[in-house]
Amino acid sequence: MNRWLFTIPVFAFAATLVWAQDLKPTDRYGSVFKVYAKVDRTDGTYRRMLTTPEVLEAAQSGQPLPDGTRILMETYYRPGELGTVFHKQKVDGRWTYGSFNGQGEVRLETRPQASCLSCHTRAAETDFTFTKPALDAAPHLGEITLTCDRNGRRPCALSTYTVTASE
Amino acid sequence: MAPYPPLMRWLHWFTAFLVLVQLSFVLLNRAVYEVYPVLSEVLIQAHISLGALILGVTLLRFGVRQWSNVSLAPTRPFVRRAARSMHLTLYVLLCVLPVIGYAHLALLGFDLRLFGIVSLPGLPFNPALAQTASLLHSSAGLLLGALILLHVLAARFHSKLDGKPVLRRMLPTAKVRN
Repeated sequence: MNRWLFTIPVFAFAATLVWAQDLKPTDRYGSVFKVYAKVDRTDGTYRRMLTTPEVLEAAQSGQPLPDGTRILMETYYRPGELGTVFHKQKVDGRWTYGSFNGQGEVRLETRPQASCLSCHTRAAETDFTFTKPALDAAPHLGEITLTCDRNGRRPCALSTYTVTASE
Repeated sequence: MAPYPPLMRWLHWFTAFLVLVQLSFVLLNRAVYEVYPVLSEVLIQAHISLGALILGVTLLRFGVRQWSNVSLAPTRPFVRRAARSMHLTLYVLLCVLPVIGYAHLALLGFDLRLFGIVSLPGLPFNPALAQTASLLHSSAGLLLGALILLHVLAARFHSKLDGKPVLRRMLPTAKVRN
């Protein structure tokens, strides 16, 4: 019995490490990024969230992300067809925002942007990052899939981004 | 009943136009922010500048109203009280909304520039207060929308049912009797 009590947590820990290794990397953006979450919408569109391995390693639940953190959000309105890619970077404790199109051409220069800030204020508790709970959990649970019940391009309800132990 | 002074009428309809533009910018931004991020930023920056313009126009309008000694249509006392309260609430909301909107972004360390020229003073970084300001801005915006609807319905009611030509007093084409 004692042996099982010891084995199960070790197995769970090992399995978690394997899942964490399974995070899909991409070097499309000139630096290695890993997909830590996917947000599915009811209309079939989805967004993929990516960050660097260093950030995944440093992220701690309830703590702000470190300076220099870069996060990407890829938008897909059809499977496999990349739309706008949003980029955010933390500089001196403040978030800067930018975007480029699917071909990598810069659309919005990465700097403080009123349009991004005004919406991300809703996520002030999670360091202005809606998917911060998923980012915190991904190193342990692997890529997190979230489901948004709003179709189109409307911002999702905050409850969409909650990560439960069963994810 | 004499029409409102020409300047007040002009300021009224100019405010109505600006508020309509502000609302359309907010709705359009929701539709375009992912596909056209640059347009989205332009809309929000314009929203900020037009908000400041609305604040200025409203303060000017309030001053003109006080100076012109405008009288409300003769009607029952409680209707007059309701009309006064409605007008005052609209003035307050039109002044408060831009200020809260400014506080929302300034509290996040955002450098606000009106029409790309005039820099507004910054505020100490305070995300919690910025979040409260953001919620208040949205709620006050909804309240303003509801009250404008009520204001339009009240004007229609007085003009059509109550026999008081209050809408005609505010029309740009209203003639001032000597």
